Amino acid sequence: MTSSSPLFTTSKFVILLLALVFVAFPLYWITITSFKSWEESYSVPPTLIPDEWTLKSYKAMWLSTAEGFKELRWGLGRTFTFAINGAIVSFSVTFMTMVLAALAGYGFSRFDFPVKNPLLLALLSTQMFPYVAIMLPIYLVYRSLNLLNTHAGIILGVTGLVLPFSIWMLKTYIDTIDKEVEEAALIDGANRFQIMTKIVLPLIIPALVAVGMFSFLAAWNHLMYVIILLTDLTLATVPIGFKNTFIGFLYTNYGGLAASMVTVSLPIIVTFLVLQKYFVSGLTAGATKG
Amino acid sequence: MDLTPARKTATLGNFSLRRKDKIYGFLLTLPALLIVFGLIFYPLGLGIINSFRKINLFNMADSTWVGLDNYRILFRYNLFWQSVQNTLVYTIGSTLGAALVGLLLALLLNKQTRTNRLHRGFFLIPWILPGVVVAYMFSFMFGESNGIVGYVLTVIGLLEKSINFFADMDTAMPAVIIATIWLSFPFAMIMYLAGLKTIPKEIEEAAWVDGANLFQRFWHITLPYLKNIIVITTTLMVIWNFNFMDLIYTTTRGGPVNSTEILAIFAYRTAIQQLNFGLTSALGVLWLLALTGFAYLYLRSMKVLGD
Repeated sequence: MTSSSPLFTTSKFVILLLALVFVAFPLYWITITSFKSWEESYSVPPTLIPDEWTLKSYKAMWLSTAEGFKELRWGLGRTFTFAINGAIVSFSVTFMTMVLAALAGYGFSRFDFPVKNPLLLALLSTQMFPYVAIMLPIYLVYRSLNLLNTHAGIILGVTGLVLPFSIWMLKTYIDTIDKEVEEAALIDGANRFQIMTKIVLPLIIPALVAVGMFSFLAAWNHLMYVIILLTDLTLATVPIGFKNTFIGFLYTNYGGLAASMVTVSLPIIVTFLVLQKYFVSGLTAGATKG
Repeated sequence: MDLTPARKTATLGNFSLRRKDKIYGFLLTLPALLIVFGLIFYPLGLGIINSFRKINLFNMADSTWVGLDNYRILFRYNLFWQSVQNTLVYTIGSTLGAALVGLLLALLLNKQTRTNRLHRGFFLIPWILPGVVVAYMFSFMFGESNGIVGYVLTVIGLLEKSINFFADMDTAMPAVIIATIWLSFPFAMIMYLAGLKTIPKEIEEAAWVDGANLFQRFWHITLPYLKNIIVITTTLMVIWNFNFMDLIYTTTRGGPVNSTEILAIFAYRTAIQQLNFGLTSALGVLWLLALTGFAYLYLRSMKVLGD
């Protein structure tokens, strides 16, 4: 069988089609469910295309102010409260990670200091740590620091989780950049800070975008710390917020759930598709060289 | 231009022979290191110590040293062993599945054409969605009365009546594995695609000219070039899937009858529901040893790690 035989072309086409359906169908399904009426979302057999398109679920989502959740922030429905909490946490994590990882990545790439290699290995080893081994001690640490039930606590915790990988990503990237320009600038009397901001920063922007995306997604999607360290629902981010919006004790509002799923997924999908190029090259740069 | 000795060393390509530079470099890494050590290594150390203590959450001073008791209790716990077994099935099933789907798609989409680029972008979407969203997505489709999957299977005659796949002992595990494959194969795919790019064109062409068939070319050229990246990617995915609780926490919560009770859920129970910090810490220590041991042995046996 060669790569131009009809058999090959056909099987390639079939596999690709199956994969497309496998990936696309779940996305399609929640999207149309969000436009179905409440009754239709429960109908047997399920309808592939809504008989009647309605925005009721989105309206319900916008207004969702159910019992026991009166202390809504900013007077918005639950989905938006969780989305705003998620945005606060995620943007803070992204900002902190980009700044700290860029500094550390530059430090690790360009300078030699006594315990550098053990430190780099230690950072790498954190990828192996089970959350389970740290989640309870972190609870105790946070309790003594009064960081339980605060966004600051979640921001710090998630930043700690994403930093090691981000530092490695940036270090590997900076390693590939020629030192000559920086050295010339040093000789011309530029100070270290000027070199970092004027010369290095513009060069590492692709990798920084990748780190930014990576940390934003990690924070937006993070579940574990939010379960352990937050009990105040009004502070919850997107993953934990879901469970408590449209899933009641007696029934699940499929339409409302689907609408909020579409709402929190769409922005990240669009952003991702726009910045995809940077993300993929940044993520894979280290792996293919190592 | 003033060329002091220190500046000369800079021109020689080494930034850090000067003591001042060493300190400067270290200071750059310090803020990040403080966070990582304070929020990962320090708690980890605390967890290791706690695994030898009986913790009273409400009065830490009341906690006592109990030696290996926490470990003994854990080993006698039937649910622990069942969770170990479930975790292995879940981790191996979802990692193998994701690696295979990822490899197949990477091979199909390797050529740099416009449609391939579009496909690649599209196939990455599952990976960026929150695990919880994916979990509900699959709950919709695998659900009982209105689940499209159960309905389709009854129509083609594979099932007598529609079932909730997450609530049936025989189907719950396969269902969570399929959902996990759905959200994790894109990572394997982009890593393999990056690996495929490193294969020199000449070698492929030479094999083509020599009349090697598709399978021979895959086995003798593609696979050897991809080996390292496959090993590293599967190591990462095993570790991630081992730790990944979002999906099961949202769909089955370890049920029905513990058939999807993986260690992450088991730990969540001992920690949050039973507030047994000593036991959870012991579990964490064993877990850490198992993962580190796995990564070391696997990377060694695949000769990715130098001796």
